[in-house]
Amino acid sequence: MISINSLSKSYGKNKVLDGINLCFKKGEVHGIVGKNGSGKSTLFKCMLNLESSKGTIELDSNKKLKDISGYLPTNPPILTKITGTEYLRLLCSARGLKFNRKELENIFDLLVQEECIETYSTGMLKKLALMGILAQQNEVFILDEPFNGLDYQSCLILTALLLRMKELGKTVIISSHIFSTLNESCDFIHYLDNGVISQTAQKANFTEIEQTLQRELIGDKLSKLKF
Amino acid sequence: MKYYLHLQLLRFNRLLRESGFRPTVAYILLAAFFVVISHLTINLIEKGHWIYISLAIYLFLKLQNIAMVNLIFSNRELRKLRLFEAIIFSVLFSIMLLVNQFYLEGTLLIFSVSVSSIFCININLSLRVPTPFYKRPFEFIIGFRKTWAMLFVTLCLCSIALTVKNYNLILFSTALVYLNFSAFYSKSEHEFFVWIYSMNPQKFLLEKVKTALLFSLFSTMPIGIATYVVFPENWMATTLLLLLGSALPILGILNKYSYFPSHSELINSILIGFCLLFPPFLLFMVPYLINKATNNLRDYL
Repeated sequence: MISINSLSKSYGKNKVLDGINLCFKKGEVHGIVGKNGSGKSTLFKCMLNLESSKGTIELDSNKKLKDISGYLPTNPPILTKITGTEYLRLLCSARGLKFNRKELENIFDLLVQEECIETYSTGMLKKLALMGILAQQNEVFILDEPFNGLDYQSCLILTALLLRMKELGKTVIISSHIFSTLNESCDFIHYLDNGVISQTAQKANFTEIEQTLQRELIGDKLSKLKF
Repeated sequence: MKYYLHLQLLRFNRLLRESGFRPTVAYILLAAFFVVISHLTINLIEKGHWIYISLAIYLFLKLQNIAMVNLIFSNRELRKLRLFEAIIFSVLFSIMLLVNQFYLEGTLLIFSVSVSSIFCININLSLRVPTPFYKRPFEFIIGFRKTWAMLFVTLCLCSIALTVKNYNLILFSTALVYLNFSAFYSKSEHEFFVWIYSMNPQKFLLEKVKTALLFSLFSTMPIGIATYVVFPENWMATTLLLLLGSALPILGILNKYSYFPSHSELINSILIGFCLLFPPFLLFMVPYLINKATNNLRDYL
């Protein structure tokens, strides 16, 4: 179990996260929604110690959260002049795991061996980064906009993969702009608004959160348009 | 084209300032460094002027191969820009050759560099070449792929030096190989590629050092053994060269992570260079860098 208590983050006077309290259990898939700049990516970075923050993050084990987490950033960073296989080998060695290409299931049918990763398209890069964190055998998966840039088939695979992770008792936390994808895979959805979790809904109440989103993000903006 | 060159100058000045130098001071130091290195290469090494010319052409071709410039200029403008760069670049190197009375070679350099610019010879020196370092990503893999031509030339120089029994050339070319290895650690990677490690800073640094030592030893062992065999009387100098050479990538690692994720200040690299010239100072420099790098990495690991 991961327990986040009173997590706050400011950039100068600008408070991006304000007293976030969340709890993630094993085998649960959590979705974080919110408009651009609401603090979703910052929340992930603070949880993973990629950004400094106030507040505490507690785990039910002695390990550090970053050491058992696979993090997929919105735009995965790349190293030029290394191939897909070498990228996967790097991620495995970082966790002290022996890389075995044969054991790693290439779920996206990606040609990881042939090309240097700077030649990959956005979608291919995202698939490779996903395969990397899967190869690391993590217990927690934090995925920032994982559906961005993926083709339809890969979106379907990713949705199935999220459900499979849930079955395996992994904790998954994802942010997405595509509500329907969260609808299918999440157990809980949290609405992050101006640095505060303003609403949390269980699966049965997802429509409520969707309505809130529509009301607050769209409102009557379209009615002001003059065609 | 004029504005592009002006921008390049501005960028270079910014880089110098970020590295802790006032541009005027840096230009004086760079000019002095260029003159000293040129003089040493041309005069202290047998056939050094040919090595000097080869290095100049190699550096120019590297400068030419900047894809973004190829995209933003029309062919006509690009040729003018290349020719201008070629003339400035080759004249600088040629002056050093002319001062040392290599008149024909100096003229040949200006001619060959200018011709290469006119025909826009674009050699792709960053092809995905197979690397023996693939098992332990990533610095040596990337470094090898970026500088394999340079490595090939320096290793050829080592072989020539062994064949013609020129010990100074051995020292020069082996030092170049080690300098090249240390340059693999000159740029900081994205924070993500440090964060992914599930180990403490000490273990992380130890792993990086182990990899650097293993690969640099693996790469220079044939040269080292051959040097001991061909020049047995110089065993002490050879041992010192190999020891100091192996220290270079290690210092590169410590220096990089002392300032991570920013780039190390140039002044620090100069200080390390000074310590290498007077090795006892390494006894103070290495613990200082280990301590600084360990503290710095604590934020990420």
